[in-house]
Amino acid sequence: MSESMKISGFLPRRIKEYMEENGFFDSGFYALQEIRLRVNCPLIVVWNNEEKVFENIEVASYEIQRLLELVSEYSLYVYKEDIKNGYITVQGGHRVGVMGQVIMDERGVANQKNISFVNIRVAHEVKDCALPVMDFVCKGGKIKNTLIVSPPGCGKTTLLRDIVRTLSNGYRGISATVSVIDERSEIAAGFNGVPQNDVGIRTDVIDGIKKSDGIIMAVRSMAPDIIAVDELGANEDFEAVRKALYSGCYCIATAHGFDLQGIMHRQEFKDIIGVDKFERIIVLARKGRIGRIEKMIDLSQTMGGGR
Amino acid sequence: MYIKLIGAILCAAGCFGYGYYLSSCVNDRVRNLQYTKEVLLIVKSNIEQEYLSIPSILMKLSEKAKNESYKSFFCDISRRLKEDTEIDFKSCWCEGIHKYLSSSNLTTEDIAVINHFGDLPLYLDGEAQISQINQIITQLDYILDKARMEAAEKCRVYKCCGGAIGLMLVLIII
Repeated sequence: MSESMKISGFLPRRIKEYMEENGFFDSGFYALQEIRLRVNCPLIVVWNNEEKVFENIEVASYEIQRLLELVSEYSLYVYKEDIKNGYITVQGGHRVGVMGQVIMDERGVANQKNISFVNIRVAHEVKDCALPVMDFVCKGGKIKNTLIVSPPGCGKTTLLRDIVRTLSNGYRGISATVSVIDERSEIAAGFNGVPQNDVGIRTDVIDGIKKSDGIIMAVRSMAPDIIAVDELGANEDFEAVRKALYSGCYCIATAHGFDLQGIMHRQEFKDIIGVDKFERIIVLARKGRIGRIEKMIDLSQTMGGGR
Repeated sequence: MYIKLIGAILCAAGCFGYGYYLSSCVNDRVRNLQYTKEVLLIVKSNIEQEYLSIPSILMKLSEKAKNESYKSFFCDISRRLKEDTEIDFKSCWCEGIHKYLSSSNLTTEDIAVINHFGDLPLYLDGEAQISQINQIITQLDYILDKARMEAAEKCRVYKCCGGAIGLMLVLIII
């Protein structure tokens, strides 16, 4: 099944046909980023960083229901936990964000009903996109703990995936065993336990687990050289990353933020960024081409020292 | 004389055979109902324990089913749900039953109960599916008990009648 069919396959017929007519699923698929569906609102497509509003296609409530049926293979109950978190990851690593009326219980969000807003984020595997940063990530034959920083939708996960693939397959004499902690199945895009994206020959993927638990599990069980983790954010993620670093693993991670100064406002980042910790920072540009590198900061140069 | 004897034996065998055939049809219905109940229990545990989607459960069932009609029934529904993006679960299920199970020994009442599986509230959580399946199992249990009692009586009647008619024909012929 082609990548475009993995998405067009669960779109309601009218929207699918309209998008097919407009070439989004053939020649235009490479630049398709988002499909936004809101009940009683026009279809919006983000293509090549440009928002296209199709006023003539007003999304109906039943179309959202139909989409959810198809995304979940008629079994929404399978995705209850995902819906609680606000998204479903589908085959190919594409993410379907969902929002509606939240049902709360004493433990917090119990479920969502009357889902009326859907955002389909298209994941693109861009092989060799990491080549410009590889000498920065492993300078002088040594892997460096690296943090990739950017706002959402700028290509952090794509870059992380390609760094993992390159190091796992071998780069300039370095071939590392990598454990990917894939909480949302976005890096490896695991489907029935098998990665859909190429993450390299020495990569183990632990899928659908809380990042903090996954890191500890991987360190204990898979003896990785590198731990790769997407979107550090919760306090326990930082604690787990610290433990992994103390255990002698290298870590390559991503985080949401505009730049280094922005994330350094959080104490948790301050604690893990620096010499002998995360000493390489890659900042992706929030404007222009997706994945454009704005800055590469080597903290061992700016702060001195380093392992 | 020999022709008469052969004719009598054939008539007797035919009547006995027909009696046995009718009773095996009744038993088939019980077996099918029993199997349907087992299927529902498997579906229930797959939803509860493994969080599998309905098409995946049906595909698993088709791989294990020994009865050819059930095998094709599960396989076809699973394939259609995966490939046909225009169909909804209820109509797919009902069409499948009509196509593969209507020619079996199940009665209209049995099929109506099995059709209820198409009403599963698949947009709700696992507990909702389980309670709906439990409801269908309860209905099936009721039909199954009735069918077993009927089968015990009917089998005896069919076999006895077959035998009696066979003997009578033999006497008449001789």
